[in-house]
Amino acid sequence: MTYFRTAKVIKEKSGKYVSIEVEVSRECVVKVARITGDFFAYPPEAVDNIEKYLAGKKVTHSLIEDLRTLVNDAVLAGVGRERFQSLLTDVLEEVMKACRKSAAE
Amino acid sequence: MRHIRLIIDEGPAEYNMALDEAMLILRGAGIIGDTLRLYVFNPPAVTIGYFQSVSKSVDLSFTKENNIAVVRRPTGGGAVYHDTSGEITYAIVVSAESVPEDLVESFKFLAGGVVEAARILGAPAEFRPLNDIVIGGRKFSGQAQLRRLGAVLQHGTFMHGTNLDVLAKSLIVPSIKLKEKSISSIRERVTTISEYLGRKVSKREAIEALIKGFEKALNAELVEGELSELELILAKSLEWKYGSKNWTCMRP
Repeated sequence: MTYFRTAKVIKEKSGKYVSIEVEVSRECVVKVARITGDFFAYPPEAVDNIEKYLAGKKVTHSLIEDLRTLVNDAVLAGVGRERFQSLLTDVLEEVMKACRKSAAE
Repeated sequence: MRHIRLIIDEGPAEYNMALDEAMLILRGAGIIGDTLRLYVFNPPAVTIGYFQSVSKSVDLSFTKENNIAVVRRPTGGGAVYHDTSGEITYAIVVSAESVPEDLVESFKFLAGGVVEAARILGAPAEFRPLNDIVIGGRKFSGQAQLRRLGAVLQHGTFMHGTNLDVLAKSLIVPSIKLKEKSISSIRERVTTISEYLGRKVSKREAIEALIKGFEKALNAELVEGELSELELILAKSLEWKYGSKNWTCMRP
């Protein structure tokens, strides 16, 4: 069962937008991660790999660090790599905060 | 002078996307040469970018009611309405070495034929980064690109007479985009060559202008040819993907 879901969107000066949506279970395990938008990435599968890597994993600081390598595998156009990375980090940190709150209850 | 094969074509969305991908693979493998394909989507279709959410980009009730196909592209970018009687799509496959390395510059370089074609018809078109071509600030052409195996596929639109009301009803633009542009609907930011010129530009006129435009922009002679059996076989084997719900709804 989904315990927490969050999504954040950024809009770049290029006119392109990126949305990252993550759903986790009460145990803070990623059920779904979706990266959508009208940006470009080469190869496109590099972005698919970020979603696949997240699925089934517990959200932790080290997971966020691991994702940097995957983000670096993609050549992005329409969105800056640092902006993309910080959007991903923001979403996952919000997820972690919600999970900590749940554990404390 | 450089020669580029020209294919003039027409077909459903899944065929068009499959053939574009097949041509990219075969160009990358060195089996086919540089090729420009000018084609029409018949029946009309909406194509969405590789990363787009289908339900957030397309009014699926409207497209269903109006028999407009919806297919995900292999390329990034935004959603596009392909009007059978008012839009020509181009797809060009070339080696990556023959285009600028910078992505924006490569978009501009390969879209040069569209800019020239519009100017031939009398519309002062300009390339607007990242991937649009505009007339008087309003978009009439968008480009998308994919690179594989040392080859580049760029495809893009040429709206000579698209029904813009149908376009506006088919596509959903995220509010974050409309807000930034201070507009209330997509209709306000798009146009067609016919609308700008105040006269109907026919499909034939549009194709002739595109041929001349690409010849000028690429400094090449376009030589009309035919698709090979290999291209058609590979495209046929890729059509299942583009025609499948799993593919188009992979980002629901």
